[in-house]
Amino acid sequence: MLEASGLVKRYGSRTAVDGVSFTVRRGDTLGLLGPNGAGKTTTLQMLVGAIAPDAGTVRFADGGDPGDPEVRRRIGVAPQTLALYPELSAAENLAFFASLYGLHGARRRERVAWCLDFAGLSERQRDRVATFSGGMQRRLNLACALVHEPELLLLDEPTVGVDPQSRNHIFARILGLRGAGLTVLYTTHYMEEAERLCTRIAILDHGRILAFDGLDALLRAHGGGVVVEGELEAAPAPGTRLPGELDGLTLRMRSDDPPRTLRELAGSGLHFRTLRMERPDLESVFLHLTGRHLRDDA
Amino acid sequence: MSPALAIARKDLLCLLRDKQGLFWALAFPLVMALFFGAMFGSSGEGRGALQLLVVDEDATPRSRDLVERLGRTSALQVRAATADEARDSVRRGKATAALRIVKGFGEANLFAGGAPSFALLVDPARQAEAGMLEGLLTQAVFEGMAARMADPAAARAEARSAAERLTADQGMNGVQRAMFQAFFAALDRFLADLPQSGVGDGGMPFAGPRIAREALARDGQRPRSTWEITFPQAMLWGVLGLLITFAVSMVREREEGTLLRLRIAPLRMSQILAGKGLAYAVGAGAVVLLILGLAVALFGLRVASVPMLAAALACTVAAFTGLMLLFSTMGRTVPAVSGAASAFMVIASMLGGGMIPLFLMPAWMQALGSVSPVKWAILALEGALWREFDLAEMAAPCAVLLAIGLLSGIAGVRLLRR
Ligand SMILES: Nc1ncnc2c1ncn2[C@@H]1O[C@H](COP(=O)(O)OP(=O)(O)O)[C@@H](O)[C@H]1O
Ligand SMILES: [Mg+2]
Repeated sequence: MLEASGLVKRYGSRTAVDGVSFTVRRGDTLGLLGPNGAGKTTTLQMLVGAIAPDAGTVRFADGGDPGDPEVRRRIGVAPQTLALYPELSAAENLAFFASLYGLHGARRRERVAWCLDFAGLSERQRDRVATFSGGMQRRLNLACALVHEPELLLLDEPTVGVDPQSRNHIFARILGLRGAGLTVLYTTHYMEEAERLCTRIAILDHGRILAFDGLDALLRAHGGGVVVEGELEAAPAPGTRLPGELDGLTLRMRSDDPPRTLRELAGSGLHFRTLRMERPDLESVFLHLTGRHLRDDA
Repeated sequence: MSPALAIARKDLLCLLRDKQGLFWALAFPLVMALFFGAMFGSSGEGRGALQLLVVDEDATPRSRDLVERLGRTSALQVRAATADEARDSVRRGKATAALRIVKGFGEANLFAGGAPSFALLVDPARQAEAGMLEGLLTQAVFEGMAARMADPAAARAEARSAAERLTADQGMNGVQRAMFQAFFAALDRFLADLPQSGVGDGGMPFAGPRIAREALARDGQRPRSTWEITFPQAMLWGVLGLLITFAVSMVREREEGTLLRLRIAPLRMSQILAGKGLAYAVGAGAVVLLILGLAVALFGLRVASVPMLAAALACTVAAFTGLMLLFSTMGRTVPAVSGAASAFMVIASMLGGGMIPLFLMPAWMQALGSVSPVKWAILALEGALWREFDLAEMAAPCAVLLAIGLLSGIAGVRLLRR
């Protein structure tokens, strides 16, 4: 559906995007995961032709480029900043953006109503956006990208700064869109979101894609195995070879295949009284790939 | 609705709901027009007029006629007073001069003259104006005489009475008396031959010097009141205030990301700018027409020519629409754009006579003013309102305004594409 190859964007001496290539397939929910400043927004803006790349190309399914009005008509974008008119009501914002895509009359009213429902704002449709909470504005920001029924939806950190309730609303709606067959490109710096929503994930850091695959494949390749931790029934005999570190009776180890590891331990007479397993997550993938944590505050 | 129209509609809706933007575009210019208009005096005739107190000791129809004539002179503000009050006011600088019309003024014969019939007291600090005052007084007296001469029957009676008085004068020798008698006889015949009515005011050779006020300026070419100066200025302030509001709204769209939405929609850049420009033009047109309507309805602003005014307004709006597009794309942040646009507003209106009328400025500043679109806009507006411009005179400022609009608009489009 969309192919980006070798995208480069420099700002002065800083290279914001440094040779990014990936393909979005129809029906994908592709996650672009990376910390702040990784180059997600810049990449997304190059995909839609809002900024010109210094190198590389973007091509859509049937050979169109993002400057082509026909291609643009099929793309919807929810920018990272709240791109709304605060003086206008929710319905007026939606109607305005719809009219940019040539919608009018009954068709436009129908789409506006659909989007208001999508954003859970039908009851507040006549209120000015300036009076909305951050979460409501986020939901409307997302709905505005859908008013013209795009085939490809680009979401730039759609949950930044929202309350948990709005976040759940947005998640549910995106899963619904995914179910309806919409192709989505989702950028975020929250690994939970990428894990929960995306079928494939590209990990971006310093303008480069470090890994690009399905969640399980990423975890397997870069997650460093499941962390298994448990309290042994009895201290192991001295000299027993252990697959991890022992601290008193607590054994802590990593395993790519925990059931097999546990069977092998049982075979050598080691039984657990309690057991806790920790699946690796994208945080550990990122840590493994970069030596750093994904979030500034982590 | 085409996308450009949708953008224009959206911008106007946002403007209507933006109380601050509206204040600067509409309320502020009006307040300033009213304030400055009132401060410099609501009437051009009152402004700079000499305060003249008149003590009419004669109190005859002729003296009253003279007072009335003086009152009609635009350079004088005439008020009746008692002799003491008049002297006191002049001494304290409350009035410029006091005129005493001595008893007997009314009796003075047109042809025989008599003792001086006036006493003029002028504020010592305003001696420069004394000469002008005497001139005005002479003019009024001559006008009165001319009016009396316009009625040949009355003039004849006056001539006869003068003849009687002179021939009765014992100090006159025979030759002199014969000369006067011959003169008055000739005058009497002359007056008798005149049509008994229909001699225009001042149509007589005795009318004295007609002081040609028209030589200074045709009446139509002078502002009749300060409102005619301050309201065109207010229109320009409105246009400039709205320019800032719109230029800032454009850069706000850039900062807040709505411009991104516009740019990724299937629109051409030219449509986005057309929408913005259209919204501004409609908004500025509405502001100017509102101010104009108010000025005409409540302050009696003259509109010499409606078609000329339409042309002046259209060219003014076109010029500032182009400038708005330029300023909206010149900076990337709200402070940058609002700073640049505000600086432009201040400098352009200062140089262009938007604050202080150009004719009050030194010559070099008037010359410098030509770089300001405000000057050309005010010139065009005044040309249509009261300067009574003809087509050629109007074409010059309009051409300059259109050129400014076109060039800055093109530059704006270039900058946005960047
Ligand atoms: N307009 C710009 N001018 C200069 N630097 C920029 C600009 N936009 C982005 N950058 C820089 O490019 C890098 C990537 O930014 P961005 O794409 O916004 O990251 P992300 O969206 O992943 O947080 C950052 O270092 C940022 O400072
Ligand atoms: Mg970003």
